[in-house]
Amino acid sequence: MTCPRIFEVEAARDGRITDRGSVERHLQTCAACRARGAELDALATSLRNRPVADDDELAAQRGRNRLVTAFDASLTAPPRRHGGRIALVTAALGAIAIGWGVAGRTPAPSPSLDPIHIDAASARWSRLDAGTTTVVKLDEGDARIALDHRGGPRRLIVIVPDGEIEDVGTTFLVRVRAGRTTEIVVDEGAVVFRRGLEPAVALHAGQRWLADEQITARSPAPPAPPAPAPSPPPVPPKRATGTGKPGAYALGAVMAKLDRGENVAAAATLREILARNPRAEDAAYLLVIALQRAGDAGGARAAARDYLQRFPDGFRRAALEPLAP
Amino acid sequence: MTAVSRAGSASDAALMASMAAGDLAALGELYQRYRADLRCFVLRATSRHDDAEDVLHDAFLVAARIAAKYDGRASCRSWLIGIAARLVQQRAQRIARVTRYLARLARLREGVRSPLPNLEARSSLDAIDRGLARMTAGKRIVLVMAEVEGMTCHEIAEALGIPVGTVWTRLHHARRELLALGDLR
Repeated sequence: MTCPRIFEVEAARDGRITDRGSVERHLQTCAACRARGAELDALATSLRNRPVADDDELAAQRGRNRLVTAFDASLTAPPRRHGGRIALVTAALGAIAIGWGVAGRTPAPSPSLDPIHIDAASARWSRLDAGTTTVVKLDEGDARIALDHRGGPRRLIVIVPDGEIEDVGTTFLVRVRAGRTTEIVVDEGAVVFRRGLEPAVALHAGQRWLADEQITARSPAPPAPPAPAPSPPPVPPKRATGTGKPGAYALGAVMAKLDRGENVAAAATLREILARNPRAEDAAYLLVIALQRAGDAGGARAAARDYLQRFPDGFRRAALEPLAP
Repeated sequence: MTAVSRAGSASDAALMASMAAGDLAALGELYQRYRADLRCFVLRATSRHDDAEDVLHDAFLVAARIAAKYDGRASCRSWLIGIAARLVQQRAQRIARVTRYLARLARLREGVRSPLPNLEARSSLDAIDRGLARMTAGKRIVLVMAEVEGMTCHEIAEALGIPVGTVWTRLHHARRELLALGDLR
């Protein structure tokens, strides 16, 4: 015995449907759905009742001591990377006598040949070139920086008041307000941002870093820096995704495109994700949605058929079956 | 009044603020408060119990380093669980990579067999534990956060930094895999 509304039992539990009252009323009359609910309850109870090995007081004490010692060490240890950067700057100063342009724009030596383009009209910044390394010190304001690698390998480090950004061949914007970095937006390539003692964060094209928030896929940015609003649970040290398998950020970027109505672009990104990972079920489903919204009914049908083929037991099967008769 | 006794009566938010300022006693107090909860979560969310202490250590250390970003909510339990969940997932991904590499190496050598089938046959795990052990880390973590920790799908999505639709998908498949085993006792 089954019921066409049986999926609603789980959907209501997970907050996928808002009208719980309708489900509750239905449960009173449908034995199949009640059985499904009982099955899910039994599963939850089994999971909650799984025994966990007893804790060991000694292990807890050891863990506490180890943790406090590690935290203490991290507070007292000199910031390794900063030290390296300072040494780099010092060595560069000694090796070649090119001075800092103090507080104000320092024009590039030869704009036509300069592989680094810095657009920072209202910012307070300075620049030092040492061999194939350029160090830009941004004290305040916005700087859009582009690095052209066609003239050979070049290293660019942007020193901000609370850390440093290492360019890995890119075009990016960095925003500094009141002595702290508030935003980094990467247009092309990638950068690595190191802030204080925090672990380095890699940002790839299309990603934006906001102070006090995690990395996000880029969405239309307001001109003003974001307010330090309550942030989502902070992230452990991580590398931002952007290549490889479709991670949360890749799908986040797709969702942002769909929100902006860039349906064709979203579909193209989803096809790339699926080419890299044919088991990306959410991407396969979103492709159907993107194509539908783009007005490509034939494409949406084909994508729905493709989903049903790839995921015969897929989570969205019921929703897509009518599209691919 | 010592730092420890001061920490003992403080709210989670106050401890977080102290920790952000480098107060070791605050970190010790938070560890005392949430070690047991976090340990249970990690043990349930990972199939590698020998890693649990390391994950706990790393989770609290990460929390200490980013305490300045704490959003001020009354209890930091779910915040800590979010950090631990991400660490469990990262570890699982690293282990999966190494396992795939070792499996490839094993296939190259004739006659070398994976020990896994024998281990599984000898295992005394019950059906649900076997199901959880076979499950991908992503699904397992979401399942534990929802069914054991009682977090909503939106809270899980926020904690893990993934779309809520992905949480729904993983949760559905995780339940389906376990329900397919039949005996849940």
